[in-house]
Amino acid sequence: MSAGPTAGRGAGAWLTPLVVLAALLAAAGLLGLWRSWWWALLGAGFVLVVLAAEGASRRLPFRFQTPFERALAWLFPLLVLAAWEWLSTSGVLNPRWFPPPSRILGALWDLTINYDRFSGTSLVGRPWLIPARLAEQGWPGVVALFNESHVWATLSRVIIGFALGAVPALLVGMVMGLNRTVRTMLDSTMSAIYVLPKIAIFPILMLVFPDPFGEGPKVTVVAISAFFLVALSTMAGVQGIDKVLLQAGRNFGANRWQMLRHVILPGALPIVFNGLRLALGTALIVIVAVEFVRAKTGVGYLVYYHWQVLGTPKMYAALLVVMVLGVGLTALLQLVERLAMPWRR
Amino acid sequence: MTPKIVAVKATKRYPSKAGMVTALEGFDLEVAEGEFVCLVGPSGCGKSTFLRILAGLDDLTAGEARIVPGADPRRPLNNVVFQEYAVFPWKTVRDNVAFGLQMRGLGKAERYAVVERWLSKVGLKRFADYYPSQISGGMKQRVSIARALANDPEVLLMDEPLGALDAQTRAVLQEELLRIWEETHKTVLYVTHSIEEAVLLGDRVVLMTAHPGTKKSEFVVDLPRPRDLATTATPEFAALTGAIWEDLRDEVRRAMEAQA
Amino acid sequence: MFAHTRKLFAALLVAALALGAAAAQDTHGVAPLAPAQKVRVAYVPILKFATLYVAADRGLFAQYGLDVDLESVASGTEAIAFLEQGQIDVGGIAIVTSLWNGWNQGIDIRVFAPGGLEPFVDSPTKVLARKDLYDSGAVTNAGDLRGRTVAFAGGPGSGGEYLTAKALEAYGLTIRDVEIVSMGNGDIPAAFENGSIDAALLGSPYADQVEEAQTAVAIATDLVPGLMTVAFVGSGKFLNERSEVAERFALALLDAARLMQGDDYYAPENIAAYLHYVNSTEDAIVNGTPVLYDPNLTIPVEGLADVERVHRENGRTDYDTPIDLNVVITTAFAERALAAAGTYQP
Repeated sequence: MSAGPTAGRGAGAWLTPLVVLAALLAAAGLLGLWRSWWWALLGAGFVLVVLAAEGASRRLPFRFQTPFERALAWLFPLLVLAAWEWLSTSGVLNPRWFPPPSRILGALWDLTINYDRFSGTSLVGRPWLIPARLAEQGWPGVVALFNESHVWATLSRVIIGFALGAVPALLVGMVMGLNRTVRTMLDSTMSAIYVLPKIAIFPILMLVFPDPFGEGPKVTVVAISAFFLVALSTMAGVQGIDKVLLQAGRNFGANRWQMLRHVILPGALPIVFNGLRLALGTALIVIVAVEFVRAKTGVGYLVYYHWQVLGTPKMYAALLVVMVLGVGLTALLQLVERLAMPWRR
Repeated sequence: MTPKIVAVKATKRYPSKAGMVTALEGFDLEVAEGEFVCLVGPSGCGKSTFLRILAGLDDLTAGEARIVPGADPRRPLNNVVFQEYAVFPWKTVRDNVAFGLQMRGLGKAERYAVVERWLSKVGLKRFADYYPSQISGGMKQRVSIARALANDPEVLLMDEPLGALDAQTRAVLQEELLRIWEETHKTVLYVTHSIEEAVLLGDRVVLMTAHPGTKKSEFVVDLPRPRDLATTATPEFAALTGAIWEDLRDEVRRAMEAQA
Repeated sequence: MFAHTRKLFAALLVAALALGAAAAQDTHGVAPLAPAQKVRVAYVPILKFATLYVAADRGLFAQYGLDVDLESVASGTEAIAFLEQGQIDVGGIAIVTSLWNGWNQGIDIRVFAPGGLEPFVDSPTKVLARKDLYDSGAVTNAGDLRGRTVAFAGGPGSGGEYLTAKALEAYGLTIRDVEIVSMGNGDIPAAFENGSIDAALLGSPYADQVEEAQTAVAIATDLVPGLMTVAFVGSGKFLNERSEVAERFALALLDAARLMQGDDYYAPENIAAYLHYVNSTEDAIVNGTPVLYDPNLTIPVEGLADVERVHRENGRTDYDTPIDLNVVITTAFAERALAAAGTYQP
């Protein structure tokens, strides 16, 4: 403050909060305040870190701004993880219920490399064994590896169920968007069913299939969850097309099929993809919840199993896998989206 | 001269919450082949409604409004240039211009050959592979104009095509329209609320009244062609626009009061 | 509406009886705590914790100066988590895998009183096979279940799995030799009906239900006669720092067990207490075989050791060497309660 404006914008802007932070942490540590005041210290720490980052950002030359922001986006979660690690190992958080990230990573590694001989499963299906299996047992050996994988079990349920739900939903949504009568008849019903928690009807789905414990009900519950979201968003997408574009299409002589192919379908795509993204997320949530108690494979089963037998690091590791699956599936869909809509770069 | 557009006692009413609204009442118009006619009037006078009826996007309640077909039955009767451009965001500039030809089933090579010619005429050759989101409003309207011209309709219907553009861009596009018209001599029905634009572009200016929309008066623009922006600086131009404004002023006032 | 009225009625009845009962009981010379001490209990709502329900609803806790809060939980693991976090003091839970894993990880929770024991004969808990399989002779005992679909409630490492494993063990099989399917008890009768499962472990009243409907036939009963598969556990903090409270808690359970011996088990005030906490019907309780409640509050250590062994051998635990039961069981409270009350005289 007392220094000149340029000096004030100098090191002080970002250094001061860090010094205050270090002093605060040290004082709290010495006085033994951590146990009861950890939440206040974390909050104050967060504010000081933000102040330091803002100070540093103001002081950086323009060309370093973007890299700096990118670094912040990565560093902050790392900082959070570090804080968690420390709170957990120092005993402020009970490590049995909130194991430190390092132990969760260790558990993830354990799950990845080990085959559970009791349940005959592994996390990712030990892909490093594929060459050897192929040589020894041929393709059936490779299929067996896939079948032992929890990740593959969840992924295949999500992908197949999603496809089975989304494709008819696109057609139904398209018809609903185009035809007022169909829309009037279906809209309110579908909006009502859409909000139903689909897990609630899972027992009924089990009754419908000859093998209630097989993949049928699981894939179906995913398909149903995806169907309503995609159908309703496709309808909204079709209805949301700028009327003047429809008029232009008609004025330039497009017939019904051409209207669909060249105007309505591409015009609805952005909102359709919004729906697909939401539906994919919902599909993953639903299948993980179903796997909790209704499956013997799948990442959701892993989460619940390791909670039931008090293996919390492995439970968190499985949750981490769920997150990775979510991010990966979304990224895949975004890739499809970019390919399908090259005009929206 | 054979008439290309014929309207006899064209009337359009539609229901609204405030009861029946008469957008167009006993409107008569005849446009000759190769004539450039501008419809001018206050907002709500039904000029756009009439254009949309001609384009087949709306129906008449009574009377008649039609485009007289030419010798070639495969040639489209009309194409519209919309104020909102109405270019397809998901098609490149080239495919937008080729749209009408594609709908008529022309092969890729054939339609692209036509499109190249029109792209260079409106100065969009460099932007052929761009998407509409990557170009400016003025360029989008060029795409829209080229799309209509490439389809080679009997009549070109333009619905306030430059209304959404800034003054400079509008001036540039007005000159381009003049140049293109000199080359094609298309039959054009052009809706605008700018008297200056109507006088600059048109062979004839038709004034309309609002509530109900009907023809008020007609002015023949006998300014020599080819015209350009310098035309607007001539005393003849000023005299004509002045005369039209005299005729239109009260009408605009009345329309504003009716809307208030 | 109906259920609500019934509950209200039951509660009123219980309250009225509790007053009378409390006056009739003696406290074996143990002074009630003043002021009353709060004890927070989480329990899995099954009949094997009936001593808890009777002690609560017939005023036995109150007469020792205990103010007991009962909250039901879905699984033992939940209760273990709450116990370790100090959110509750006592858990009424099955001795499930999570508890063994927790003990192996050094969790400070100890068994201090027994829950209900499996009856020596006519246990309501049995393994049933689908009728058509039984009639055709394909499945007549647990040994025929190899490769068949067997259902039980509770999931991996649960008490249900332990009992199923015990039935199989008699024929040299393990749960790895069958297709195990985890489902709610209520779903199992329907699964028998549509033929989607071959066998299942069921307790009262569902076992009676499928037997009456003739969709399944019992093929293994009295799986673990006289063994304890559930227990009352206390947090280390509760047992160490509030031992006078824990002692009275155990004494109240012992008093409750003595109110439930023989035909007293069906006493209306007892049945009201059971129905207050467990989803069942009076008919089911009256017609079913009672669980055993030791009037001397002995903790049968052998039973626990067997539970531990089976879960460990099934690969449910994350350790391989047996756990020293002396670390996880404290008999002090039950013994002190017995010393105060004297050995049971029928």
